[in-house]
Amino acid sequence: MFGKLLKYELRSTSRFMWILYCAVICAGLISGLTLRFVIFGNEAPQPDGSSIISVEGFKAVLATISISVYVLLIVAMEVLTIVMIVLRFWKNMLGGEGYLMHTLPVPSWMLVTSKTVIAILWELMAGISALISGTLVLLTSGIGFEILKEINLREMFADLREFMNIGPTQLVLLAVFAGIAGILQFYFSMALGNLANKNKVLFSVLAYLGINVAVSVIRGIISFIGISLSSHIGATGMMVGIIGWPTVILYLLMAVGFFFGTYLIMENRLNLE
Amino acid sequence: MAWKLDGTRSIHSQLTAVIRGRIISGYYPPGSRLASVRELAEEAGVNPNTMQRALAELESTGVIFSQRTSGRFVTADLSVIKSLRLEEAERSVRTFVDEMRGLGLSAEEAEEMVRNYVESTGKEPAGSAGESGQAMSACESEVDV
Amino acid sequence: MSVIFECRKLTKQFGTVTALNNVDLTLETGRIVGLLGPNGSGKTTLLKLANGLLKPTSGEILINGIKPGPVTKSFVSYLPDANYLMDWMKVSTLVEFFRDFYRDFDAQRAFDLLADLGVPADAPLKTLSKGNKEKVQLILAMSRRAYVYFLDEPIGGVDPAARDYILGTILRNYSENALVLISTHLIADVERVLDEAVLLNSGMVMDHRPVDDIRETHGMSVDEYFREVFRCSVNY
Repeated sequence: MFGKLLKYELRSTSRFMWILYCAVICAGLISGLTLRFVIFGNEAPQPDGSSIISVEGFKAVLATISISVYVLLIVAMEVLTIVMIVLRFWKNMLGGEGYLMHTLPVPSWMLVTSKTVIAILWELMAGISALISGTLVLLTSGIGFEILKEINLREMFADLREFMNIGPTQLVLLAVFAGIAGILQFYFSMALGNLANKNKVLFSVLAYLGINVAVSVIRGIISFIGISLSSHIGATGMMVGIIGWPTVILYLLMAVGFFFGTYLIMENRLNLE
Repeated sequence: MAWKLDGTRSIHSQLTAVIRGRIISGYYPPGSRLASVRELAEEAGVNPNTMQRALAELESTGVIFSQRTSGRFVTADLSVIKSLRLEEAERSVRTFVDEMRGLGLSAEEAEEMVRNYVESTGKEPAGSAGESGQAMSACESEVDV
Repeated sequence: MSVIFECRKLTKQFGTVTALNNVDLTLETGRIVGLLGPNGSGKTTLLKLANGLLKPTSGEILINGIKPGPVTKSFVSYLPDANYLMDWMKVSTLVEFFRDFYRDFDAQRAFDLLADLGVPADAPLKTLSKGNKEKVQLILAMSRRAYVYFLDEPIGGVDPAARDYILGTILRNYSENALVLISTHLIADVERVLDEAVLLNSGMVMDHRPVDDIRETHGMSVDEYFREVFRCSVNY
């Protein structure tokens, strides 16, 4: 049954998503080629980074605009992905289709889980498209090689650990839990908003904002406790915001909490129109 | 097209009347096999249980009989059908007489009107099951099909 | 004929509003029952409770002795009074969907009925006329070999020919092992198809009797009886 839910969830959402991702990747190609031929002209960019610096005047403006547009496009795709995920849940679980979904012979938690899994998939796809697209820009414009030389992963991670108290494992886990919690926060807000008799959309938005506030407060408390308890001071002598394990666990708990909240509301307090 | 039924009388009694009418008129010939309860109910546009009840009533009065594996049949006993016909006729007579009384006509006036009508339309009462057209309309006018 | 639907002191409140008030009701298989009452009488609330879309405030509702949940949903077929199907989907995809989730779904029957109607299987649902959409919804619900069918206003808002078709389909689908509960305010149209009528008003069961019983006892149709006894206005 779970597989079937996934199957139809995928079928319902993929129509929109593929368009987005293709658009983004194409945009990457176009941007990269624009940079390459329009801006850098007929000379291939130099490996020593001089070609970037030498772009001036009108071409510099053009380059800036081109890159800005491109970045906006990426952001738009990410936003649209989230919008799709939210609207999908609202329409399918809380709208007319809810009569179909909630009378399927499956438990409520399975409905919520299937939606979450596919939502995560689309967020991953969005991220991957952005990466592919960005890489295309770098490669087709020729800048890529110059920048890649500047990246030193080991240094980056060392800095992260130093300044933000977070290692690679924690980073990965944090990204995963935060991603899941992010999606579930939307679902939970919508479930909460739907408890109201009128103005459900408004209450959903308020619920979302309210949760954000609550989370910020909790994170602040964790930081405060963390700083008070530890004698860790960054290399620069600053008190640094502690990320570390407490934050990772916080997001895990958020994900679990939002899931149960959503599930319990669907199970016991559903009231379709 | 569903059978026309009125809203004030019980459905099963109306169904019984329709089927009886059809047997009298020969629409369902003597000894013939009736469709299944389901099919009749569908045709009539009524609940199968209600149709079942109507058929059970007809069975109990011997108008139809059932054979376990083969279904339900109209009685082959012509005398049964004849007495049904007479019952219908009597019902019509009673209705007619009551109506005439209600209109204030005397027995003689009523009789004369009957005779005039019979003569002017030049028709003899249908005697056998073969002449189904007119007989059908007489018996089924009570329940309009 | 065995008991398959039971309400015991079933009450549902929404804040201060009592939609259902201490309802006791027992229904058996092999019957087509009308849940009759004006808008706001609690019919839809009762059906939502039966399908697990609402939870009771107090009391119980049992389908074949079980509380509504994934188990009952597997042998209950529900036709809600709403556009509840994905209207961007093709009709054939919807059939596939039902077949995937319901073991008792008879896809062949669904296709046969759709063909009878002349509904192209490849057409997205949203391209169909309103009448055809309603028929498709009904066909999907009736193509399940369920033990309970809950039909909420199946003939509301369609033309008389469609009505006949829908009532005919319900009759053709009759089974001794199943209960069909038709909820409607169009009592006159549906009476002749019913075994029993449950008359609901203001969240309470006013009467529960065989249709012919009401007609014989009161000399009027159920529709007239209901209007007279509950003094409802003529236009619902």
